[in-house]
Amino acid sequence: MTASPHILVVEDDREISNLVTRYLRANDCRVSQAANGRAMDLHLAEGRFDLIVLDLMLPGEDGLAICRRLRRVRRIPIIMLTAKGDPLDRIIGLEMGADDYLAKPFDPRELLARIRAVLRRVRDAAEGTADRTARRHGFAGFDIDVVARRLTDPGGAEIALTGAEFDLLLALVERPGRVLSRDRLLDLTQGRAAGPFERSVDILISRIRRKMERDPHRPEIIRTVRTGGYMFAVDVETS
Amino acid sequence: MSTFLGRLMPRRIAAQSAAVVIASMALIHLAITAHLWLAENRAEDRRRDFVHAWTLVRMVTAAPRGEERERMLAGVARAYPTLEIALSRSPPDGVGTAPVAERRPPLPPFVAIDPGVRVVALAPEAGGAASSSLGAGPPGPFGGPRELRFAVGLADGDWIVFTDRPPPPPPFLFGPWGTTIVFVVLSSALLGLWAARGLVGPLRALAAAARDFDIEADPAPLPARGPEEVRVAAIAFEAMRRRIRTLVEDRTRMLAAMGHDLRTPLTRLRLRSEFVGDDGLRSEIQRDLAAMNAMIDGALTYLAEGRHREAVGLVDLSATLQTICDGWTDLGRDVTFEGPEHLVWRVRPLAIERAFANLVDNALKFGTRCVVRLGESGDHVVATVEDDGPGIAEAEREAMLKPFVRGDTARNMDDSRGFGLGLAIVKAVVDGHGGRLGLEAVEPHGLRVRITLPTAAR
Repeated sequence: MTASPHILVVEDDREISNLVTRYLRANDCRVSQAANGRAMDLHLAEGRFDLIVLDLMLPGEDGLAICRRLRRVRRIPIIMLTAKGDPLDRIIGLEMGADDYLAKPFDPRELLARIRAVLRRVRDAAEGTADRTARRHGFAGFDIDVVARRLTDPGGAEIALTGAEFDLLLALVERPGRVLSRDRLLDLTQGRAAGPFERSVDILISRIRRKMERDPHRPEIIRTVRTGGYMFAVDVETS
Repeated sequence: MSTFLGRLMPRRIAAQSAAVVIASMALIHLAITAHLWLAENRAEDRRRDFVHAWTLVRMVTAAPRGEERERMLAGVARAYPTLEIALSRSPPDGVGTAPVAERRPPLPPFVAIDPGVRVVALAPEAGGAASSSLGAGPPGPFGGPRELRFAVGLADGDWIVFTDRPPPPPPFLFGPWGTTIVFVVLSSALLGLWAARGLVGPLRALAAAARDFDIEADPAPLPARGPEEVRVAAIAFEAMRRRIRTLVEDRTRMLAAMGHDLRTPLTRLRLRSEFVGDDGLRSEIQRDLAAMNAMIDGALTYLAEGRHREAVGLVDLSATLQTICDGWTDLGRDVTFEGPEHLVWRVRPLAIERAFANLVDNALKFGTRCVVRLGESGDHVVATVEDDGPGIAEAEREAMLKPFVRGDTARNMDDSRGFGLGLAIVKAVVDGHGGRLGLEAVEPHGLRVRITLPTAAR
């Protein structure tokens, strides 16, 4: 995030659009506004954008359709805004190609944090440090569904993880065999679900181990490296 | 074939029961007819009687005329009550108008006739002409033996008149009363059978459909067979079910739309609140907005529960409960989880997570600490969420499980949840899994919510 990112807000409610724009501009973003899919197309034809904040309920072409259409031609990051809080809608939104999802009414700080997290992931992908197109990771019988953010054990049972735990596990799984320091892990996972009570990496790791390792005291999947860090120690199959 | 029979079958209850009674009447008639036919054709016995009697009569004719002969004849008559044997001093009516040779009845070949004895056939008393066959009178309804009547003229001028009448048919099953009882028993047995198969079955299917009435599920198959009345009731029931479903759907859609429309101004307010300069005022506004949003969320969640049921899948319940507890521990609350490392069960993942999150949320709202326990017992899992709050009075527990019902003042201190939907949502989730939810008191004070989930979620 060297230069201020250019964000396109696609939202039919003018008030919300103005307020979001005002908040993001106050936080070092360049922002353009579009009220519908057609206006969005005009903006995209004229300028370069780093990210689109897209409302799900739009007059005419709705957010899901726009999202699917955009994904066919370019990989511009998308954050969906929706009034529906149903987690199933969220999965559909993510499968349509959105990078993240936020339910209305939202805390604008949360929106800003997610915008930054998505932009960081895009940057990492560009640097080749993580595969952003990956949808599934398999290891030691476990399966991670990146889109639905689900972890299943070798028996196919779903294992609940908090957002922070999932992000941390994903950061490790995306970099198998590499030693990652606590600072690096914090950096990789910051943005999503970050808060004043965010637990340290060590506590998150011990919680993940309790849920996944056969013997949490002698971990085989996530190893502790004495020099100060963690390493994902099993082979990962990505699809 | 069956469709043809089906078309012949009466459809209404009255017609069907009448048909059953008519059928039993026909059966009784058939039985009586068979009985008579069998009785008439029991001719062998009669022939034997006749031969015996004839032999005896020949002995009588050998006895001297007078009292002795009368006495002997009376004895024979007593011995064979089915034969009518009478002695007369003069030729009976009908004898002597025709030549004897032509009037001789064709007695069976084994009937010997002594010389000097005349045998003359007589017209039967029942009517008809004197016949030259063994049977004379009108035949029975089934062509059985006829009445036979002839006179035997002895050499000394006495006449013996022989009348062999077919016996009256034996009474059918102990006479008229027996017949009536048999008819009543038979027809009521048939009626019972019909009621059991043709009436009770379809009614039971209808009752089952009413019992399993579920607005969300596809309609249970209604009885297609049975009397027309039951089918009409089934169709009416189905129509009612559809009306209720439409009603509920309309209401749900309306509330969902309201919830959705409220979100837009709520979002605006939330965004605007960021520009309020006064920190205290801003945080108060934001707290109220969060409470409003939680209320809308709760109502929509409750309405959605069961409507868009997610698929059942294997879930590590230990991990789910642990995750919920960890979330609160991170916020500095006293929440502990006690249970196995892993407990995999078939549930609806999001619904179960929401239910337990609600319970822990509730527990910490009214108490200072919360203990979540999980265990497996036989073919079901038992999970309890316990707090050290004021608890719920026994009289109020039932009401607390209903939507939009609020507890007493003790449970009503905090308005952030609103609508009193917390426990109702949990109940809906547990019901959706075919499980049970119980509220118990904790000593010295507190509430324990006990949830039991069976093996296979519905």
